[in-house]
Amino acid sequence: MTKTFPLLWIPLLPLLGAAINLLCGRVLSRRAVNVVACGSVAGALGVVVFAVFGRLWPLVGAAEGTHLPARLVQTAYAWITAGSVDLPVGLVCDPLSAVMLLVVTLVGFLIHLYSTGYMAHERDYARFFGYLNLFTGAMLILVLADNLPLLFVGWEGVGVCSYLLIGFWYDKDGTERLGLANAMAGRKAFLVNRVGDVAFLLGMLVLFAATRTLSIESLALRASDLLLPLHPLGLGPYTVAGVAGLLLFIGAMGKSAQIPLYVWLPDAMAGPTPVSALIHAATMVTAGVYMVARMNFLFMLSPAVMGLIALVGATTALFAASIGFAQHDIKKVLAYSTISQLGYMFVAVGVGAFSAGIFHLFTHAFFKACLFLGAGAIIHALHDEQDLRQMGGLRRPLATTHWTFLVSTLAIAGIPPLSGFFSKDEILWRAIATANPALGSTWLPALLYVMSLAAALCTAFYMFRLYGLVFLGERRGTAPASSHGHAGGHVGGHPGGHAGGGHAGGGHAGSGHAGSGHAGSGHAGSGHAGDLHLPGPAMEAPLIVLAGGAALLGLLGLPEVVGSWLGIEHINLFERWLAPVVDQGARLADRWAGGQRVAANALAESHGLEALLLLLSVAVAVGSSALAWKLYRAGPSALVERLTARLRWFYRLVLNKYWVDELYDWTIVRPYKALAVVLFQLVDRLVIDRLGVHGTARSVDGVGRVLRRLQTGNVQHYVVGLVIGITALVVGVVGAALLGGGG
Amino acid sequence: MTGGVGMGELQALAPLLVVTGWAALLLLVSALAGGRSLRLGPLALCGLLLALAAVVWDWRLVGAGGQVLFGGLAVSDRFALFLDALLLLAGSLTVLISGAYLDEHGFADDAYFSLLLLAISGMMLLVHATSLVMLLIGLETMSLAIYALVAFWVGKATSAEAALKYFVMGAVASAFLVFGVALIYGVTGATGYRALAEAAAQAAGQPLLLLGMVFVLGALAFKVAIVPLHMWVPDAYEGAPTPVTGLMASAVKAAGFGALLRLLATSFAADGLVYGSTGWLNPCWTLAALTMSLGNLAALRQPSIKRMLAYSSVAHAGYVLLGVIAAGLHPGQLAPVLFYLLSYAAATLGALGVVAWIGRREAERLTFEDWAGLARHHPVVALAMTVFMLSLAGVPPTGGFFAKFYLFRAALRDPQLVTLVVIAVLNSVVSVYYYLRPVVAMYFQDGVAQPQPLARPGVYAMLGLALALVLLLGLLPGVPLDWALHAQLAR
Repeated sequence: MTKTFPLLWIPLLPLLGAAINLLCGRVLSRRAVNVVACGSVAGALGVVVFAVFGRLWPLVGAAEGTHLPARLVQTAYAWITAGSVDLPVGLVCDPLSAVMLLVVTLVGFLIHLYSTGYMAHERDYARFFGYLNLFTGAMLILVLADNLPLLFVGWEGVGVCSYLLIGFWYDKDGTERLGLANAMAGRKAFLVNRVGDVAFLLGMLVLFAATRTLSIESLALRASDLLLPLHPLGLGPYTVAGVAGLLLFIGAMGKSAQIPLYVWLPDAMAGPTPVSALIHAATMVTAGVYMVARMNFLFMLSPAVMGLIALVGATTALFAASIGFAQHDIKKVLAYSTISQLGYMFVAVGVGAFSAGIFHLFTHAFFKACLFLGAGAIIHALHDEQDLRQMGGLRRPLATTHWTFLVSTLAIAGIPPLSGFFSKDEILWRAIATANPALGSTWLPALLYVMSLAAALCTAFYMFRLYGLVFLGERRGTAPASSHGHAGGHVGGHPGGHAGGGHAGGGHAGSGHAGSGHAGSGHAGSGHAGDLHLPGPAMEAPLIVLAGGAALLGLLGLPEVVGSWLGIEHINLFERWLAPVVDQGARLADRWAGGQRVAANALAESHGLEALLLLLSVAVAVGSSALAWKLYRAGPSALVERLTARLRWFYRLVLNKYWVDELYDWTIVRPYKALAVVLFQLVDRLVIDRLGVHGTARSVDGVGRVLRRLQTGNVQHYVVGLVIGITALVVGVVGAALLGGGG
Repeated sequence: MTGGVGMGELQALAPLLVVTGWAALLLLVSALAGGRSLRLGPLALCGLLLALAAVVWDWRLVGAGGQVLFGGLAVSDRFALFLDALLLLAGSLTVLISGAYLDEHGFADDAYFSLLLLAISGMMLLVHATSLVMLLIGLETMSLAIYALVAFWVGKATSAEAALKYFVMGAVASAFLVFGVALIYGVTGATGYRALAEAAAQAAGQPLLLLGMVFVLGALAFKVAIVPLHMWVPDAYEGAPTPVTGLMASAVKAAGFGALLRLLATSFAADGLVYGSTGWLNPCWTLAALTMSLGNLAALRQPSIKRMLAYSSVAHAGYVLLGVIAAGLHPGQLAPVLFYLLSYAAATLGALGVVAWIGRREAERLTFEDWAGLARHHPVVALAMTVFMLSLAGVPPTGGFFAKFYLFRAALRDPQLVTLVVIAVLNSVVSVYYYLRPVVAMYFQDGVAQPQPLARPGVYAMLGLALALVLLLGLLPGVPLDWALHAQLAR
């Protein structure tokens, strides 16, 4: 069930848009830049819709029931041909990549559209959209790749664009200090990702060494090679699948911001907010999850790595959610929330519920993009204010933003029947109903479940805290008089705010601001609509579409227990759509690993238990949301103040994100820098520069100068040199011959 | 075989005949014009494209085995045709940029284009030759035309000086060649490559034969600028009109290496002439190491970009020589060398095209300071120059990367060449330094004044074509490599 289709156009259109905007952007009008940027992504969306619904859909229908994969393919051209390596630029669109394609192009298009409003006052307009298009193209290559090197091209491509866009305001308002911080954030993201990328590359090399191929399809056909023993670093034996899987997963840790490589994502919020929505929430950071699902056959052959993935995911989900409690920057809260939700996705793929993981990726793309874009609208309205302590009471002036934000908050908190509830609950259920032969069948599912449930509790709480602080109560803080002259006031006005200077006094600063905010709200009340920068239709339309998705898309993946109530079999459409791709791993593991694989445990049969747990998650989500609502309905309540005062040490620990950045700084960054300085001074400066390059060049220079002085440009000397040269050759060859002949 | 010239032979030589005939035609046209300036560039371009079409036609015609012509004096095989295409391509790019360049610098163009085509016809003969006599004729045709072209910059002292130096030294090199041919003929009684191969296998180890061999190879090594026979390069390259420099770096080098490849892989391929203390392997090994190292080290500190590119061409000759050695040891391994020559030609033509583009009359703008801040005013050309530099340095995704990759990989198959490959890789690392110097100047330094470059359509067409070629070789290396793999020598 394979058909060819010109898939290359999908990434090519945004790439062409990027080429136009980056090369000729300076001479184009803003309108032309808009048309090129949005039009190219809309074109890609059109091709994707046609490919998926017009071409792939019938194939999937025809292939249902068989194990034949349904897919569209295109081999664009032979990319590298070197000996036994034959790497085409091969693209494949199967049900799995179709989901990603739709997310990337649809959400991507909406965010492009939104950016035309959000970035309207920026200079370097074309550069921004060029990068955004470039990102979209790279992400589409990543999704469409049918071999690992091409996937890696996309993987690195989105990394570069992420770097470029995080540091987009490298000279923000001409203030060098702010711009430098942005550039440093971009650098940090890039470097942390490199750690993962190196592991990814090593994983590819391990796979290639063992199987002599890097095409994903051929790798799946060589499952027996993947089970060969390896002795990495003299340890082991481990299977090829185990070693390569672990390395690829480390790559995914970097890209998808999992412990311990998550530290870059909060800093990445330095980029413009649409970038945070597109790259650092909806698409790029989910690439790791996508990769694991794409390589599901490899991971299914190594239960130990699967167990690790699930554990890392659950730990990250809980850990990041707890940090979300105490952040004051609206974007930072959402960033930790993203890390936490990505953790859920890894729990899902780690217990073999690949379709549940991708389903959560799918719904998350909508509600998190909506939340980020909503946050962008708020920040925009408040003239770049990001501190929650300066917000409040925005319910009425930002009505559209408020409603869409509320829908998405309900979705992420897991309130039924919104999308997040179904996708998250599927993961929780699969976590407890799946056994892993490498790690025992009792404690791991229970542990995963408890951690995930705790994370869900935290999520509902911090999201409603965020919602309450932004929209409910009265407006706190002093609104800037006008957008003009605002940057300076912003920096100088509240240094203890989100610039990071408020480590120790964070709690006090928070309450202090709240107090003064109440005092100031009297005069701010009248000027609400006047000093706010209200979003236009280009910004509101995407919010509405995304909120609609966040509300309704959960219906695509209703849990089986609901199906059993309604008497409908296969009610989970999403799982049915993905089954041909993601069940491949289970089939292979059954055949080659003797059934030693991650599989459903005894609990999975019980619909009663599933229903019970469903109710439990609803209770947790609703209860936690209600608590947060109550506490933050009118700014931080007195109870919150008392609690934070009582648990000062714990509050400070969370506020400072468990000091992980500082820990990395002291254990890794500083020793590494010291080593680099030593190597630079000793090896580079002394040995290579002074003795090597400069020394040689200087001596060659010297020789040249001496020769020049001897010759004074006389051609005779050149000729003499020529004759000497040939004579030397003659002596070398003929002399050796004579000597050889004589001896 | 003997007697009259058949139709088939003429067909097989059609590209060469077209170029030679067109050179005569151009000369005739300019003679009839009687001193008026004619702008013959487009006409010359037509001739080259026609010849290129003939190459494509012949590619199918001669087939994989090739066709022996004139009783073994020359041959038309796919190896020669591949190089023909390369030479014609380089010639076309040179013609494209020459028109504007001649106008700008005020040269009379009466003989320029016919000389250019004559030089190319000599080069084509060089790669088709399978007899020492034809080799000599081809080399001289090429050289005389090139001498004249180098001297074309009337009124500029360095141009005349460069041409004179080049001419005198070239004459000495030719003398060596003639003497070498005489010695070889004296020992073996043969000038045809095939007869020579058999006779040389018998006479291997004869000092006089070896002497002749060294002289012949030395003369060719002079043309392709192998150290220590490279001293003319910086002066000649710098003094010559820039398009001519491009032609010398790309086409002359390709033709010279083509002739070398054929000689080493056929006539001098007998074991006794290759290996051991009397073979060419060890001297060539040493020369390759010397050439790439000295070329790169000398390029490091050049103040003039044109001179830097001249030394860079010496360094690249060293890399190619490494490939030539590998091809000589394992006949049939020609593709990496051909790919390398193509990729190098595209990148160096492009780089020298940018040099020609930036220079105006009385202001050639050759120093790095002259290029400072170029990216601000001309981002596209600066980007193109960056791509050319990266290709010369061998950085993906440019053609230079795959060229080096294929070349080094082919050489690594032979254990005797491993050390040389290591030297070559170290050298390419060093070379990154000087290739990035113009990039640093263009992007990271502030310019004094906005340059007013030679903004003419022909120049931009040439730069665009060179850029497209460099990127094509880097992004789709499979296709040209496939052609190169089919470009085998006639047996």
